[in-house]
Amino acid sequence: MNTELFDRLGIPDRMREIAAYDLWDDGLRAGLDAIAKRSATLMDAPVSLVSMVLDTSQFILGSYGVTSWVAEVQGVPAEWSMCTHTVLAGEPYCVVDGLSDPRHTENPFLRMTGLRSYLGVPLLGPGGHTLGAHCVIDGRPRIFSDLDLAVVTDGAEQAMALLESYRRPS
Amino acid sequence: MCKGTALSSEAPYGLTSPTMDDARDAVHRVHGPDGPRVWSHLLQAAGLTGQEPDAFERMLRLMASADPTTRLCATALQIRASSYGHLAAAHSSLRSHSG
Repeated sequence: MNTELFDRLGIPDRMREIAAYDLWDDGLRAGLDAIAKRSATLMDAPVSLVSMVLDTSQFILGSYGVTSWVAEVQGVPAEWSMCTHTVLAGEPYCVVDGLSDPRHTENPFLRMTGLRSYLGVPLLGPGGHTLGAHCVIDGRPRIFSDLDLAVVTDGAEQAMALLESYRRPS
Repeated sequence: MCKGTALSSEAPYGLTSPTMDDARDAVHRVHGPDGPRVWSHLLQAAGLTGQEPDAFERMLRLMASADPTTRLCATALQIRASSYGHLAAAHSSLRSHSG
Protein backbone atom coordinates (compact mmCIF):
# COMPACT_ATOMS: atom_id res chain seq x y z
CA MET A 1 0.00 0.00 0.00
CA ASN A 2 0.99 3.65 -0.44
CA THR A 3 2.62 4.29 2.93
CA GLU A 4 3.84 7.84 2.30
CA LEU A 5 0.39 9.04 1.21
CA PHE A 6 -1.32 7.26 4.10
CA ASP A 7 1.09 8.81 6.59
CA ARG A 8 0.29 12.28 5.23
CA LEU A 9 -3.44 11.64 5.57
CA GLY A 10 -3.35 9.67 8.82
CA ILE A 11 -1.96 12.39 11.09
CA PRO A 12 -3.28 11.44 14.56
CA ASP A 13 -4.67 14.90 15.42
CA ARG A 14 -6.47 15.06 12.07
CA MET A 15 -7.96 11.58 12.44
CA ARG A 16 -9.11 12.41 15.98
CA GLU A 17 -10.84 15.53 14.68
CA ILE A 18 -12.71 13.49 12.07
CA ALA A 19 -13.57 10.88 14.69
CA ALA A 20 -15.31 13.54 16.78
CA TYR A 21 -18.27 13.55 14.35
CA ASP A 22 -21.08 10.99 14.29
CA LEU A 23 -20.52 10.16 10.63
CA TRP A 24 -22.97 7.26 10.58
CA ASP A 25 -26.05 9.26 11.60
CA ASP A 26 -28.87 8.88 9.06
CA GLY A 27 -29.94 12.50 9.49
CA LEU A 28 -26.46 13.74 8.72
CA ARG A 29 -26.21 11.53 5.66
CA ALA A 30 -29.59 12.78 4.34
CA GLY A 31 -28.56 16.39 4.86
CA LEU A 32 -25.26 15.89 3.06
CA ASP A 33 -27.04 14.08 0.19
CA ALA A 34 -29.24 17.18 -0.19
CA ILE A 35 -26.20 19.48 -0.29
CA ALA A 36 -24.58 17.29 -2.95
CA LYS A 37 -27.76 17.24 -5.02
CA ARG A 38 -28.06 21.03 -4.82
CA SER A 39 -24.49 21.60 -6.01
CA ALA A 40 -24.81 19.11 -8.87
CA THR A 41 -28.12 20.58 -9.97
CA LEU A 42 -26.90 24.19 -9.87
CA MET A 43 -23.84 23.25 -11.92
CA ASP A 44 -25.62 20.85 -14.27
CA ALA A 45 -23.17 18.10 -13.31
CA PRO A 46 -23.88 14.35 -12.97
CA VAL A 47 -22.00 13.69 -9.72
CA SER A 48 -21.36 15.49 -6.45
CA LEU A 49 -19.88 14.22 -3.19
CA VAL A 50 -19.34 15.22 0.41
CA SER A 51 -16.52 13.10 1.84
CA MET A 52 -14.07 12.66 4.63
CA VAL A 53 -10.65 11.57 3.42
CA LEU A 54 -9.42 9.00 5.94
CA ASP A 55 -5.90 7.59 6.15
CA THR A 56 -6.27 4.97 3.40
CA SER A 57 -9.65 5.71 1.75
CA GLN A 58 -12.09 8.41 0.80
CA PHE A 59 -15.28 7.89 2.85
CA ILE A 60 -18.34 9.23 0.99
CA LEU A 61 -20.86 10.66 3.48
CA GLY A 62 -23.25 12.40 1.11
CA SER A 63 -23.64 11.99 -2.61
CA TYR A 64 -25.62 12.61 -5.76
CA GLY A 65 -25.34 10.57 -8.95
CA VAL A 66 -22.95 7.92 -7.63
CA THR A 67 -23.47 4.52 -9.24
CA SER A 68 -21.89 1.06 -9.53
CA TRP A 69 -19.57 -0.41 -6.93
CA VAL A 70 -18.61 3.02 -5.60
CA ALA A 71 -22.18 3.56 -4.35
CA GLU A 72 -22.16 0.22 -2.56
CA VAL A 73 -18.69 0.63 -1.07
CA GLN A 74 -19.33 4.31 -0.16
CA GLY A 75 -15.78 5.26 -0.97
CA VAL A 76 -12.66 4.69 -2.99
CA PRO A 77 -9.02 3.97 -2.12
CA ALA A 78 -7.26 7.20 -1.15
CA GLU A 79 -4.69 6.97 -3.95
CA TRP A 80 -7.48 7.05 -6.55
CA SER A 81 -9.48 9.83 -4.89
CA MET A 82 -9.54 13.28 -6.46
CA CYS A 83 -10.61 14.61 -3.05
CA THR A 84 -7.28 13.42 -1.63
CA HIS A 85 -5.64 16.13 -3.76
CA THR A 86 -8.06 18.75 -2.41
CA VAL A 87 -7.35 17.72 1.18
CA LEU A 88 -3.58 17.71 0.73
CA ALA A 89 -3.68 21.06 -1.10
CA GLY A 90 -5.89 22.58 1.60
CA GLU A 91 -7.49 24.82 -1.01
CA PRO A 92 -9.86 24.46 -3.98
CA TYR A 93 -8.58 21.90 -6.47
CA CYS A 94 -9.61 21.77 -10.11
CA VAL A 95 -9.09 19.33 -12.95
CA VAL A 96 -10.26 20.42 -16.40
CA ASP A 97 -9.72 17.05 -18.09
CA GLY A 98 -8.33 14.12 -16.14
CA LEU A 99 -7.59 12.17 -19.31
CA SER A 100 -5.07 14.76 -20.49
CA ASP A 101 -3.93 16.13 -17.12
CA PRO A 102 -0.56 14.48 -16.35
CA ARG A 103 -1.45 14.44 -12.64
CA HIS A 104 -4.34 12.08 -13.34
CA THR A 105 -3.85 10.28 -16.65
CA GLU A 106 -2.90 7.06 -14.86
CA ASN A 107 -5.70 7.21 -12.29
CA PRO A 108 -7.70 4.01 -12.87
CA PHE A 109 -10.75 5.47 -11.13
CA LEU A 110 -11.20 8.02 -13.92
CA ARG A 111 -10.74 5.34 -16.57
CA MET A 112 -13.24 3.05 -14.87
CA THR A 113 -15.95 5.64 -14.27
CA GLY A 114 -15.58 7.84 -17.36
CA LEU A 115 -15.46 10.93 -15.14
CA ARG A 116 -13.12 13.63 -16.44
CA SER A 117 -13.39 16.99 -14.73
CA TYR A 118 -13.39 17.85 -11.03
CA LEU A 119 -13.83 20.85 -8.75
CA GLY A 120 -13.35 20.28 -5.01
CA VAL A 121 -13.34 22.59 -2.01
CA PRO A 122 -11.85 21.47 1.31
CA LEU A 123 -13.90 20.90 4.46
CA LEU A 124 -11.97 22.79 7.11
CA GLY A 125 -12.40 21.60 10.67
CA PRO A 126 -12.41 23.92 13.67
CA GLY A 127 -9.14 22.36 14.82
CA GLY A 128 -7.38 23.67 11.73
CA HIS A 129 -7.16 20.40 9.80
CA THR A 130 -8.56 19.78 6.34
CA LEU A 131 -10.92 16.90 7.02
CA GLY A 132 -12.47 16.19 3.65
CA ALA A 133 -13.95 17.82 0.59
CA HIS A 134 -17.13 18.77 -1.20
CA CYS A 135 -16.84 18.29 -4.93
CA VAL A 136 -18.62 18.26 -8.26
CA ILE A 137 -17.45 15.86 -10.98
CA ASP A 138 -18.40 15.90 -14.64
CA GLY A 139 -18.11 13.34 -17.41
CA ARG A 140 -16.86 15.92 -19.90
CA PRO A 141 -13.87 18.24 -19.93
CA ARG A 142 -14.92 21.41 -18.19
CA ILE A 143 -13.44 24.78 -17.36
CA PHE A 144 -15.05 25.73 -14.07
CA SER A 145 -16.10 29.34 -13.58
CA ASP A 146 -15.91 31.61 -10.55
CA LEU A 147 -19.63 31.04 -10.14
CA ASP A 148 -19.03 27.27 -10.07
CA LEU A 149 -16.41 27.77 -7.37
CA ALA A 150 -18.84 29.91 -5.39
CA VAL A 151 -21.47 27.14 -5.57
CA VAL A 152 -19.10 24.43 -4.31
CA THR A 153 -17.63 26.74 -1.66
CA ASP A 154 -21.13 27.48 -0.38
CA GLY A 155 -21.90 23.75 -0.36
CA ALA A 156 -18.73 23.04 1.60
CA GLU A 157 -19.64 25.68 4.18
CA GLN A 158 -23.14 24.22 4.50
CA ALA A 159 -21.70 20.71 4.86
CA MET A 160 -19.29 21.81 7.56
CA ALA A 161 -22.05 23.65 9.43
CA LEU A 162 -24.21 20.53 9.30
CA LEU A 163 -21.32 18.33 10.42
CA GLU A 164 -20.77 20.62 13.42
CA SER A 165 -24.28 19.82 14.61
CA TYR A 166 -23.29 16.14 14.67
CA ARG A 167 -20.13 16.61 16.69
CA ARG A 168 -20.01 14.38 19.74
CA PRO A 169 -19.48 16.12 23.08
CA SER A 170 -15.81 15.82 24.06
CA MET B 1 1.11 4.11 -10.20
CA CYS B 2 -0.96 1.38 -11.81
CA LYS B 3 0.24 1.28 -15.40
CA GLY B 4 0.53 -2.26 -16.63
CA THR B 5 -1.18 -3.81 -13.63
CA ALA B 6 -4.80 -3.70 -14.72
CA LEU B 7 -4.74 -7.28 -15.99
CA SER B 8 -3.45 -8.80 -12.76
CA SER B 9 -6.26 -10.72 -11.07
CA GLU B 10 -4.38 -10.52 -7.74
CA ALA B 11 -4.13 -6.73 -7.97
CA PRO B 12 -6.82 -5.27 -10.23
CA TYR B 13 -5.71 -1.78 -11.23
CA GLY B 14 -2.81 -2.15 -8.80
CA LEU B 15 -5.13 -2.54 -5.80
CA THR B 16 -4.33 -5.29 -3.32
CA SER B 17 -6.57 -6.76 -0.64
CA PRO B 18 -5.67 -5.37 2.80
CA THR B 19 -4.00 -7.67 5.32
CA MET B 20 -3.34 -7.92 9.04
CA ASP B 21 -0.09 -6.04 8.44
CA ASP B 22 -2.05 -3.20 6.84
CA ALA B 23 -4.42 -3.12 9.83
CA ARG B 24 -1.48 -2.95 12.24
CA ASP B 25 0.18 -0.20 10.21
CA ALA B 26 -3.06 1.81 10.16
CA VAL B 27 -3.56 1.55 13.91
CA HIS B 28 0.06 2.54 14.55
CA ARG B 29 -0.29 5.44 12.10
CA VAL B 30 -3.46 7.08 13.41
CA HIS B 31 -2.74 6.57 17.10
CA GLY B 32 0.82 7.87 16.94
CA PRO B 33 2.81 7.03 20.08
CA ASP B 34 -0.19 5.10 21.49
CA GLY B 35 -0.36 2.89 18.39
CA PRO B 36 1.57 -0.12 19.73
CA ARG B 37 -0.48 -0.14 22.93
CA VAL B 38 -3.80 0.11 21.04
CA TRP B 39 -2.74 -2.66 18.63
CA SER B 40 -1.64 -4.89 21.47
CA HIS B 41 -4.99 -4.35 23.19
CA LEU B 42 -6.86 -5.21 19.98
CA LEU B 43 -4.84 -8.40 19.53
CA GLN B 44 -5.50 -9.41 23.11
CA ALA B 45 -9.24 -8.73 22.78
CA ALA B 46 -9.35 -10.81 19.58
CA GLY B 47 -7.27 -13.63 21.05
CA LEU B 48 -4.70 -13.22 18.29
CA THR B 49 -0.92 -13.03 18.18
CA GLY B 50 -0.80 -10.85 15.04
CA GLN B 51 0.90 -13.60 13.06
CA GLU B 52 -2.30 -15.26 11.83
CA PRO B 53 -2.48 -14.69 8.06
CA ASP B 54 -6.26 -15.16 7.78
CA ALA B 55 -7.42 -13.07 10.71
CA PHE B 56 -7.93 -9.77 8.86
CA GLU B 57 -11.75 -9.96 8.73
CA ARG B 58 -11.91 -10.82 12.42
CA MET B 59 -9.63 -7.92 13.32
CA LEU B 60 -11.62 -5.57 11.10
CA ARG B 61 -14.84 -6.41 12.95
CA LEU B 62 -13.14 -5.76 16.28
CA MET B 63 -11.68 -2.45 15.06
CA ALA B 64 -15.14 -1.38 13.87
CA SER B 65 -16.43 -1.65 17.43
CA ALA B 66 -13.41 -0.03 19.11
CA ASP B 67 -12.74 3.66 19.86
CA PRO B 68 -13.88 6.24 17.24
CA THR B 69 -10.42 6.72 15.67
CA THR B 70 -9.82 2.99 15.30
CA ARG B 71 -13.32 2.70 13.84
CA LEU B 72 -12.32 5.18 11.14
CA CYS B 73 -9.30 3.00 10.34
CA ALA B 74 -11.62 0.03 10.02
CA THR B 75 -13.94 1.98 7.72
CA ALA B 76 -11.04 2.98 5.47
CA LEU B 77 -9.73 -0.59 5.32
CA GLN B 78 -13.24 -1.94 4.67
CA ILE B 79 -13.60 0.46 1.72
CA ARG B 80 -10.31 -0.86 0.33
CA ALA B 81 -11.31 -4.50 0.90
CA SER B 82 -14.74 -4.01 -0.70
CA SER B 83 -13.27 -2.07 -3.65
CA TYR B 84 -10.80 -4.90 -4.18
CA GLY B 85 -13.59 -7.48 -3.98
CA HIS B 86 -15.75 -5.72 -6.56
CA LEU B 87 -12.89 -5.09 -8.98
CA ALA B 88 -11.41 -8.57 -8.65
CA ALA B 89 -14.83 -10.11 -9.28
CA ALA B 90 -15.40 -7.88 -12.31
CA HIS B 91 -11.97 -8.73 -13.65
CA SER B 92 -12.53 -12.44 -13.10
CA SER B 93 -15.86 -12.21 -14.93
CA LEU B 94 -14.22 -10.38 -17.84
CA ARG B 95 -11.53 -13.05 -18.07
CA SER B 96 -14.04 -15.90 -18.06
CA HIS B 97 -16.07 -14.23 -20.83
CA SER B 98 -13.01 -13.51 -22.94
CA GLY B 99 -11.33 -16.84 -22.28
